[in-house]
Amino acid sequence: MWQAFWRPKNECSRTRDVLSGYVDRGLSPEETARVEEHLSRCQGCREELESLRATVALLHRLPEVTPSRRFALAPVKPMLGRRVLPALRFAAAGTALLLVLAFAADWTGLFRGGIVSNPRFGADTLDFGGNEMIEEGDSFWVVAGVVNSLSDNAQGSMDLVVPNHTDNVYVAVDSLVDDGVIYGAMESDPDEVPQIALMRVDEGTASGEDLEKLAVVTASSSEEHRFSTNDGATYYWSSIIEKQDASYLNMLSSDNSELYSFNLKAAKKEVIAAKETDWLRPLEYSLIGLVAVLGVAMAALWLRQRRARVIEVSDSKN
Amino acid sequence: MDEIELIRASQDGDLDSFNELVRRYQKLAYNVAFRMLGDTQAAEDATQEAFFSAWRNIRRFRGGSFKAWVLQITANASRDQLRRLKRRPVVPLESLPYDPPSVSTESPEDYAIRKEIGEHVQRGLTTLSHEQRMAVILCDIQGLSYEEVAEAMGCSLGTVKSRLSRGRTHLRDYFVKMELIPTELRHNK
Repeated sequence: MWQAFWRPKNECSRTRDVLSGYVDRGLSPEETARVEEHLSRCQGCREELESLRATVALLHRLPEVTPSRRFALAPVKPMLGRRVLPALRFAAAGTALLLVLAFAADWTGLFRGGIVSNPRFGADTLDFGGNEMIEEGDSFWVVAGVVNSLSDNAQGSMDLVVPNHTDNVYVAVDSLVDDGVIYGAMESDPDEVPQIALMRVDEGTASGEDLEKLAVVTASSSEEHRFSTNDGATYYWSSIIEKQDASYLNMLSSDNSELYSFNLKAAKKEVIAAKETDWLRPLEYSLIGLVAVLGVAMAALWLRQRRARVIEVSDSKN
Repeated sequence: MDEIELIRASQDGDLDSFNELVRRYQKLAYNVAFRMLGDTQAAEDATQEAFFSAWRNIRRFRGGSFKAWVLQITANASRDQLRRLKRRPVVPLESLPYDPPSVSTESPEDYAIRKEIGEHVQRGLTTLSHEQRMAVILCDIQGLSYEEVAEAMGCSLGTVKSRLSRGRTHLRDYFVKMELIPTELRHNK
């Protein structure tokens, strides 16, 4: 019905845009004058104004409503959770971080004792611990592909490399040649390919000059299996024989005249088995347990807090 | 205590002072919430939620109009309630309670008409967008100034004016459709 009083669009629509403000007397004097001037000439806009005024009047007439209750808040004792929860959150975050670190440490082998970096070989060195005498009956873990330092109080350190082997092995010293102990001496030019000599010392000749060099292990990848002795003979790392509970590393001279057999106690299997069962340490289990306990505690506190929040609303009707 | 002292005490954790503020503003907040939502239960919930939120956030109040601040929180709480109502709509518009006239000078017929008109107006309000409805409620029902509305709605004066203008025009169309306005005009003349 308002469209019946249609007027030239620009003037009327301009007026109608500001009529709401005009109703509230919120226009500038100039604009008020312009609107009133237009209204005096335009029936349609006058009707529009009246309808808006009627609308506002209807709204003014809406009665005030009264709520059936008060909205005051009732005091409650400070919740235990309010104070404990942030601490618990902090603790949980810290524990989670520790757990991550523990896993990372385990992953990178930090928990495996004695391995430190050896910059010369760019690999890890297994340190058997300084000043212990190597004697018959001793046995050691030897890590494949890295330098394993054995030490002896008479000889100083001895390096033994087990190259090109896929996993750690166990070397038993008592299975070396019958009447002596094999010492290793790391003696090579740093610029050359690293080599390790395996030497035999007969009983009673423990001084360094009398060492008989049995073999030199070269660390070059193409000749990992070849050892050469100081007298020019070459030995081959010929085979690893697996027996019931031990492996034997056989070293054969190039003319097949000599065979040295090292007992490598069945280390590979043990290591694999250990990897499967050992990936989670007791420490990590405890950390997981702690995180779980904290999680449950936080959930319980959160639920209590939600309940408490409802209690906090004063629902009195007076 | 004046309002500023009450606010300061509330910010220091004095619940009694805060409840005094609640007492002063609960009717306004409730009325705004009720007009926004058109349902007494939802309005009560929104109002309670608003004062809760106000108590929790009282330290963030940095001066200005406390009334506008309360209204802003009430608007937010109403919006939340509205979302909840949309998820499970329970709005029996027919049962909207209207206070019986305290000074009963009008006839039962007049009261019935007024009640019916009130229901139509409330229904018309619910057809507006949230922002337009808030502007109309604050300005035309609660009688706030443009400036106060702008502060309560966190927008500019120009925005208030345009929301109000659109809201009123929209409501006018609704009232015309419901034949409320011709009746009103006749009554007024």
